[in-house]
Amino acid sequence: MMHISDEELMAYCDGELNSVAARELEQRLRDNPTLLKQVEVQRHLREKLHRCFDPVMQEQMPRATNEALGSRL
Amino acid sequence: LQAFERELSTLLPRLRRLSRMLAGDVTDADDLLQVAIERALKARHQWQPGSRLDAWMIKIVRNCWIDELRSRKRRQQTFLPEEEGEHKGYDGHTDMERAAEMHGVSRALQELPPDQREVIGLVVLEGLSYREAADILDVPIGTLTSRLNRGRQALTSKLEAI
Repeated sequence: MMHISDEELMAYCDGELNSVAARELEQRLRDNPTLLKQVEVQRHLREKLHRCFDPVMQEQMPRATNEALGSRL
Repeated sequence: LQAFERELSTLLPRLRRLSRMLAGDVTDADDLLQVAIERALKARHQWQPGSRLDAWMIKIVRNCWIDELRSRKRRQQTFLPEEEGEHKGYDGHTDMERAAEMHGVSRALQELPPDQREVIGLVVLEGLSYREAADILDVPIGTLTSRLNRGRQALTSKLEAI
């Protein structure tokens, strides 16, 4: 079985592989619990960051920020 | 001309999220966003209509953040470093668990070297491609991916240690 490099695995996690390459890598990952686990860890990390920071987007904007733009609208 | 402001205002929530991730502290993050917007408004003629305003703005936010880090470093050479303050990394609207997680993640991010923190912000949080992120940071792709991998490993192990 062909070796899967860290770079390749991370590129897969970041959606950098085209769909053919991604499917092909998934095939190679199937029997590799260690690497599957790494993919899972990265997925969790992404979810965690979004869980922590996405709520910022719902907060009310500071007035100064709106005014900086609003005064020019 | 007004299209610029309108498009910029739709980007604000996203830029604020990135600012929070980079700066950590709520007040510092909002100051950063404000400085970035003022800089963008001054430099608006440099933006080419039709090109991506989000990438252009992310670059400005990032550059303002780096400037702030540098001037902070200069200030710390003349003044004693501040005591490690209370973490104001969340606004109290969330439940205890969310708050604890937020605190842990925020702290772990602040412990990363800035060059690792920013690639994680751009690629993992913002979802930019390697190419887009490398262009924003003005580094070769190889540099970007090696920082990304080092940052990821460091962040993962810090978060596991909590």
